[in-house]
Amino acid sequence: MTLSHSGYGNTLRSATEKAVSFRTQLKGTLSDFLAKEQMHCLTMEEGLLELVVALSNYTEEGRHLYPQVILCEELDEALRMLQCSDPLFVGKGPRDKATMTEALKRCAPLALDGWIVYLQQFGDHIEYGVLRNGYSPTALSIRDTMQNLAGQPGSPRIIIVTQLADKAVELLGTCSGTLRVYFSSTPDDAPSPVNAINDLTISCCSDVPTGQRDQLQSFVKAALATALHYSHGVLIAVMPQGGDLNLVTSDGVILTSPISLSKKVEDYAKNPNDINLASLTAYRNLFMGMLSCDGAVITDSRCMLLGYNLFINTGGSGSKGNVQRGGARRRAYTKLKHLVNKKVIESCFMQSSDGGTEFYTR
Amino acid sequence: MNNETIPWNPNKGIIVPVKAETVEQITRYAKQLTLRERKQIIITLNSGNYEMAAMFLWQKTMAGLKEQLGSLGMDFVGEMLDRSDITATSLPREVLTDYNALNLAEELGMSSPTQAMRLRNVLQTVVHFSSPPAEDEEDDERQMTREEVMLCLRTCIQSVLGQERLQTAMEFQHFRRELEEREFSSENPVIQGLLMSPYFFQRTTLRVLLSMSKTTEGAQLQHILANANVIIPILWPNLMKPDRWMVGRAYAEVHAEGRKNAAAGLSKALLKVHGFDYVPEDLRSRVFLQAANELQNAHFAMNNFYNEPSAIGALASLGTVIPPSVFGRCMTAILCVRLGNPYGRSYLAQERAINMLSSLGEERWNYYLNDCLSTDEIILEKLTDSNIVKRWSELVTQFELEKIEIANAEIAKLVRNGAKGKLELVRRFADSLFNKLTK
Repeated sequence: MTLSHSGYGNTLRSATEKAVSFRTQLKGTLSDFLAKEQMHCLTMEEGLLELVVALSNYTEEGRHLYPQVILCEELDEALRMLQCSDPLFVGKGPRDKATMTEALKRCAPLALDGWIVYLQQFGDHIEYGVLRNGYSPTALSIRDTMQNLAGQPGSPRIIIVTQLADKAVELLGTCSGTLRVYFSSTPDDAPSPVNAINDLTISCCSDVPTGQRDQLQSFVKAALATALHYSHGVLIAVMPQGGDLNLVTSDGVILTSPISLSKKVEDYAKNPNDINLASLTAYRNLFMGMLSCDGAVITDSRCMLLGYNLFINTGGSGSKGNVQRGGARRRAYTKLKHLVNKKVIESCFMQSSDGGTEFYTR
Repeated sequence: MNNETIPWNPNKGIIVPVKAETVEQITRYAKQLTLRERKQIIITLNSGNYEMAAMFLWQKTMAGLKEQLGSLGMDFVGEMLDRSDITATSLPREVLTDYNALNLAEELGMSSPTQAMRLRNVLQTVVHFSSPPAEDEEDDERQMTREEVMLCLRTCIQSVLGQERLQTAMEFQHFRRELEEREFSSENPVIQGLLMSPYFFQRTTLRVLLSMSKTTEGAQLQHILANANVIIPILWPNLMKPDRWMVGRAYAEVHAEGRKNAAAGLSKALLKVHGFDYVPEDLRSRVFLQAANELQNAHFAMNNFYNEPSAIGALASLGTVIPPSVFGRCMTAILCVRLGNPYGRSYLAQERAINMLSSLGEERWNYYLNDCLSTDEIILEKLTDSNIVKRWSELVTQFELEKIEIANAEIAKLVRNGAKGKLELVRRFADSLFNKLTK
């Protein structure tokens, strides 16, 4: 296990029998985090520890779930700041670890497609339930909103716990900023998996007029974040505006009428009515469907979807004499990086099956 | 009004001298009209075709005013009017109603409060005489008088047609440019002056900042947000609740639109003033606001008595629980229907208006009377009219408003005197409150 801002810890049991537990290390780090958030107490510390461990690979009835959890003291204030609504009270219990575990078990199956688990702390008990994220597909994510609020004087006490990727959990607090916990051999200073998504989003919207860029980036980022949770690996390439797709591949589905996500977002921004909302949501789902297919999805720098299920010929990607390493997706990514260097494409992105993300541009 | 304490000067120059009394003397000052048009007006008026002359004058006035407003940028105009259907490429004459144009011109100081009041009176007159007559109305009763058309002529030329270009529009543009090109400190004389200026200017400055935070990008946006973070905390303590909700709504809107920088800037300002209580949880309020705007537009437009019933029906169909962030604006629209205009009110719209007002509990009336009415220039202006004030008295009695505890002493007088039927006193207090907003 790695904490992004601390090293390893271990406990020696006896001279002949060894066991390594990261519990003490993680607990200490979470204790510091809670102290900075002024939410520190022993039961909270224990509860958060359980929560973080559970979220690193959460399954219910054999199904992987990716709930986002908000911990707060003032629910109304949190709703307004994060622009969430419709809190649905599910239950309450004493302020202890068991209640937090129970809350996750009861609420995680509900926390799908825009619903988020909340835990509201009171002096002697915890109330929990789910609440609805902003209705707009272009709205800022609660992560971005929290980053806006982080470090601002007067910010209320809110912590958001999210599974970033397999065996990677992020805690975001209004006072203490970000803490990433890796339950793997990832190095401490590894960039956040979210960075690669942000970079990809910037790249595929780079030629969109500035007035629309923010909204489009917000939309694409949210769609990617959701799609990447449920896919077994993703490959995305960004072409320059007007670039020739045949120089990359012709093996797969090349859309005869490319889909302009930018236009869909623009229509919705100009007239946020039910029809445009439904259309935007439908195209978001289509985009997410493409991401779930084998092969690469290719867009251009105006966020025009050009094709999907595209297979990259990796025949000549390695240097002469070099042995190619990795599986098919890794090899295709290497080839795409090569095309980036040759200025055929602008950038490329890969999420491997274990959830690790990479982004490459010149 | 002390000009040193206001960020830009409202237009109040004397274009048409008081001694100019005849049609020929007044028309001479209409710089925006061609010689041929001036001659046509003189001939039409001297022939006694008052309604035709008034309509022509009004159309030319509105065309001139809308063009001036369009020069400020239509996306900005759309934001100021809370109208998402107006974009940068919209044509002012096609999308702006006359009432929109008058309101915005007043808000930006392009017409002084007195000029704005006269223009609104002319609008009501023109609307009345261009609407189809009631079945039982005699032809003689429906003739426009010479006094009415002369008032129309003088007002239109004085306010718009007499000016080659509205100086105030240029001054306002300069102020707006300053807001987006430089960052003010709280000690800056402009900001200190703003603090001392009438509430009307404070509110407009706030609306300009919020509008521009939604429409600008890059360095301009950074300046706007920096200025918002200086100006909002300074104005906040004296800001009325509906205007605090306006700031909260702006945050909700930029958040929903995914504008990260604008949301970050506004959230900082809101944190500084502990203002998140005024942020709506969602944008359900936007639908109410749109319906309220449409009702208000219908009220001040042609055929208002015929169009108000469907417009208030649309607002009523959204439900009785009006979101607090737009409650003040919805009340203004409903009261416009219930109080009517100097010529009467739409009878078919009354049942809905009464139902909507009846559904309000004491707490909601209390909020409107204590926190909204003192800055509701539309209703305050209505209460200065001798015909409308009678209906106010009826309304106070019907909803037993005198039983509500009102902290604002001046509003309490409006209500108490309304209950006692002391109409002249109501008019006087309404006039005083209206003037306080702008002077």
